[in-house]
Order: sequence, then C-alpha cells, then structure tokens
Amino acid sequence: MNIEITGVSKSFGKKEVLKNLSFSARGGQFVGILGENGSGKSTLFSIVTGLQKGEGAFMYNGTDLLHNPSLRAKKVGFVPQSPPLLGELTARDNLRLWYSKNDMLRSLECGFLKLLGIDEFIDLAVSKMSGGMKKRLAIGCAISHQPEILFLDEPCAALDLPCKERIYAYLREFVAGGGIVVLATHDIYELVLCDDVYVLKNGALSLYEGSRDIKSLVGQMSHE
Amino acid sequence: MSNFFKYLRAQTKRTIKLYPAILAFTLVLVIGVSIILSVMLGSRSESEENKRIRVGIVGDLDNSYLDIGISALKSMDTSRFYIEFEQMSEEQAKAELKTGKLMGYVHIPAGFVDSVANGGSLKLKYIIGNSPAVLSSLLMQEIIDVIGSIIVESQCAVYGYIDLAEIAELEYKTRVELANNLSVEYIGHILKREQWYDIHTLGIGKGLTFEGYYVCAFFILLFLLWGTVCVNLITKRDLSLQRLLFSKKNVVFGQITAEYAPFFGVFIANIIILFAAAGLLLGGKELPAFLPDIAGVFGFIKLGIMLIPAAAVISAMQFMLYELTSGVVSAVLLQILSLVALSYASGLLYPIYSLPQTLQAISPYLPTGVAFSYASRVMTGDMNAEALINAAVYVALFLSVAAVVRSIKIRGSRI
Repeated sequence: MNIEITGVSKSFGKKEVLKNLSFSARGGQFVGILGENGSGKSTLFSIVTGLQKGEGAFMYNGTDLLHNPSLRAKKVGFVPQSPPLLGELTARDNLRLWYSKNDMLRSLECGFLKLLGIDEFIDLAVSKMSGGMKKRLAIGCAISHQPEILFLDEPCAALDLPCKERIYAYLREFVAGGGIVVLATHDIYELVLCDDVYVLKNGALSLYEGSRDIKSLVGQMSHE
Repeated sequence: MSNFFKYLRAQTKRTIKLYPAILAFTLVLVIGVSIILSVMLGSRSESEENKRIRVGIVGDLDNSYLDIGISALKSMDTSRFYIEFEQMSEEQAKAELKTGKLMGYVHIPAGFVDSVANGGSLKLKYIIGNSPAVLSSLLMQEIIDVIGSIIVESQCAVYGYIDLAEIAELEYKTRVELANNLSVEYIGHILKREQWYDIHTLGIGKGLTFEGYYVCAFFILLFLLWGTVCVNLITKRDLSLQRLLFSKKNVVFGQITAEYAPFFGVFIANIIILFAAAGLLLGGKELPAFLPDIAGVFGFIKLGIMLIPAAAVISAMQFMLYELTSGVVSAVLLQILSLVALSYASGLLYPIYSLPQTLQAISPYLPTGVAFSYASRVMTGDMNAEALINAAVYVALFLSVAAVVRSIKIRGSRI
C-alpha cells in the first residue's frame, strides 16, 4: 500500500496558508508533520480527510481519494485535535455512533478498543474522563471502520507520559499491522516514533533529514 | 443502522440525560410567568370593578319629578354600578371638573320641567373638561343628548296626554292619577331597558377576549423561554464531531434534523407535562370563558397538543439562532435579545392594537406573530389548514437556514 499526497494548496482570502505541499508514505510507515502553532498542520489534515475543500491530490494505490469520498471514508481515519465526543454520553454511547453493536463488543473484547484500554472506562461519561481517556476514545472512534491510513492531529497534546505511552503502543501496533500513520505535532518527543519527519514552515513542506536532537529540530521549526 | 439514525439516537440520549435539569428550570419559569400573568389579569379586573365615573348634577332641582328621577338613577338603575351621580352646586362642579374628580356634569336649566310640560325647547347640557377628544367624554355627551331627547319627548307626550284629559274635562283626581300612572309606567320601561338589547364582545384581537389574548401571549412567551433554557443542549464548543460526521457522509441536513428533533421533543414533553398538571389542578373546576371548551386532564392535554405547531415555529427559529452563534454567552444573549424584540413587536407584551401601525403591519409575518396567530386560532376554535401550512413553511425555512449556516461553518472555516 502506498499513499502520495501532492500539490495541496489552500488560501484564506489573500493569505496562502499551504503552498503546493507533497509527501508520500508506504504501508507500515510512521510519518510526522512538524510545525509551530498556526503553521497549517490541521488545515492540511482537514483537506486530505475531506473536511475542507482544497487543491491537490491524495493518491491511494492509484486512486485519488480526494475525489472518491466513499473509498476515502473506508480507508482513512482521522482523529482531530479536539476529540469529537458528546460530553453527556458514555464511551459506549459515543462508540455506538461509529460502530455496530457487535463490532464494538468484539473490538472491546479482543480488538483495538481493548488494546486502547477503552474497556476499562466503557460506561464512564465523557464529561468525567481524563484527557488521556478522551484521546483514546477519540482514536477508538476513528478506527471503527478499520482504516488503513490514520491521520492524527496532535493526539497527545496535554497528556502525561503514561497516557502518551499507551497511545504510542497502540499506534506502533497499527503500523506493525501494515497501516500508515500520519501524525501532526509540535511535540518533538513524538518524532521519535516517526520514520520520516516533514517540517511545515511558511506554508511549505520539506523532508527533514538532519539530526533528531531538540536543538536541530527547533531550529528547523522556527520562522527565520 | 444508517449514520443519520445513529446520530439521532445519540442526540436523543443526550437530551434525555439533560431533560431533568431542563424540566426543573422550565417549572420555575412557568411558575414565575404564571404569577406575573395572574397579577396582570387580576389587577386589571380589580381596577375595572372599582372604577366608577363621577357625574355631577347641577341646576334647577326643585321639582318632585326630577327628585324621583334622580333618586331612581342612584338607587334602582343599573348605571349606579359604574356611574355615580352627585347633586352639587355649579361652582363645586366646575372646581372638581378642573381637578379631574368629575368626568362632567349635567346642567338642568331653570324651568326645565315646566318647559317639557308645555312643549318647550329647553335642553339639558352636559359640560366636560378641557379634553373633548377623550372618548368617554364624547360618549357621555352623545348619551346625554339622546337621553335628553328621549326624556323631553316622552315627557312632552305624557304632559300632552294630561292636557288632553283636562280638555276632556276629566276630574282633577283622575288626571293626577293618570299622570302618576303614566310617569311610573315610563320610569319602569326606562329601568328595564337592558331587556331590549344584548351586547356581544368580539374581543380585542383575532376574536380573543383580553384574558384570552394574554393567555395566548403567555404560551408563546413560555415557548421562547424554554428554548433559551436549552442552551447547554444545543450550543457546541466546536464542530469537530459534526465535521467528522460530514466526512463520513452524514449530510448537513441530516445532522440538523437529528439535532433539532430531540430539541423539539423537549417542547413537546414540556407541553404534555404542564397541560396534564393544569388538567389535574383545574380539570374538575369551572373554567374561565376565555378558555376553549375542554374537560378533564385529557381535554387539557389535547389543547396542549394542538399548540405543538406554534411551539415548532418558535423552536425552529431558536435552533436557527443557536446555529448562528458559538459559545454559551453569545447564544444566550442572542436568544434573550430576540425574545424581547419579537415579544414586543408581535404584541405579546402589549396588545397589538396599541403598537405603531408599522409594527402592526409586520407582526403577522414575524415567527412569534405566526405562532401567536396559530395559538389564537386554537383558543377560538377557528383552526384551518392555512395556519398549519404557514407554521410548516416557517419551520422548514428556519431549519434550511440552519443547514446552510452549518454547511458554511463546516466547509469554509479555518481549522
């Protein structure tokens, strides 16, 4: 499995936010998109996952998913920055938005929902959950249709290390199974997971091939 | 299960979880608004009962027939409940007229009775204050003119008949007896004049009585307040879920419908609960005339169910307003401002006929005006298909606007 995202551009009024971005990944690969706040990471993800209109192509094994919403809905999962959950409902009720009853029970018993540890708080209301629980639940909702490509927008922002480690463990499992993970972050520590790191700066995306130490990465991110 | 029904189920579950708090707040609102309504209606009827017009009687009162007539007015005539006739000097009458203690005074000219007896042309005068344009003063003037003509002409006829008896050389005793009998017969007819006519009250607007008008306004105000109470149910911190649903082919209009349906369900549940409670409290009692003919708890619930289309118009409008805002504070502010402005412009706070002509012209087209019109038809039993279609059109319009706004927010906003 291969994906190739090419020529992604977006303007808001006169301001060009994304300028002809391109990157690629293959099955079993972990890709990181690094950028400061407001650099356009979320906008890039919203375009490739079909939430916003934009220019470009998202090729999946030769098919452009930007113009094939049905296939895109099957193959792509997206975890936005703000967990898309209904606060008054339990984890079970939120999952039922995305899963059939049987699929949810099966996954809770021995699937990815079990791996994410969602079975431990399945009947807890979202309003009473910690940040880490909400993020894990959001990931659980995003993978309901067993996508092959997962886009995550800052999945571990504001989480403690044990929580992060739990999520990373799941993502490693996902990638090990042949899936592709594309992670948008401005957390340098998450880049340890990544096979390829791209830096989004001034609307342009470039592959980072330097050292993965903090100083070098911060130097790459900051606007000069 | 399709995406729409999954989302509808989730929103319905949310609503059920939030409903106890919504219902508690609703009951507080209902009690508060009911108290205000009952005070308003109570004080109006009390002021009407206590208010009597004072009219002075001035002039040549040295006549037994005049004395009898004035005494009959004060003690036997039905006008004694709302008009107080008081004999006084002209100086006193003028002084009290200036201070507003008198509505006006009747001046009986000297020799009035003799003039009447001899077919003369002396007239009663009614003197009013400096504001002749006041309707009640104009009416009194007309009444005095009519009464004066009737009294004078009738008395002329009585005295003419006595003169005829004298010409016919009937005995004095017989002539006096005749005069008294004719006068008593005449006074008897005057006192029984209410049997000659029947007054029907058409009401102050749309065929409603004053009380019926304000009860309809009460319902619409309640609907507006209920929508404001549901702010936590409807406002969204962000649209991340809705965007994700959209990417999974859960179309915008489907989202709007799945969110609106439970919101509207709150209104239906409130209506049924409150009208059932009203039925339990008032079911066995004699109801005021301004209410439709309903009996028992189920009668009240049926009345409530008939008001549901009016609630639909208000709830759809409020849903649309919520869609225009983001965040609780701005949502509540917009709802309250709309509530005040629309309530005033639709005649919910003051009767519509007291508003400027421009507002009276546009009021029927406002959503609150449409809802009020529908509710008034329910109260008067004058329901027709046109009113129902009007309500449906407004609901569809508001939900369509909400869908367009949601679509713009999902597709066009910067993430």
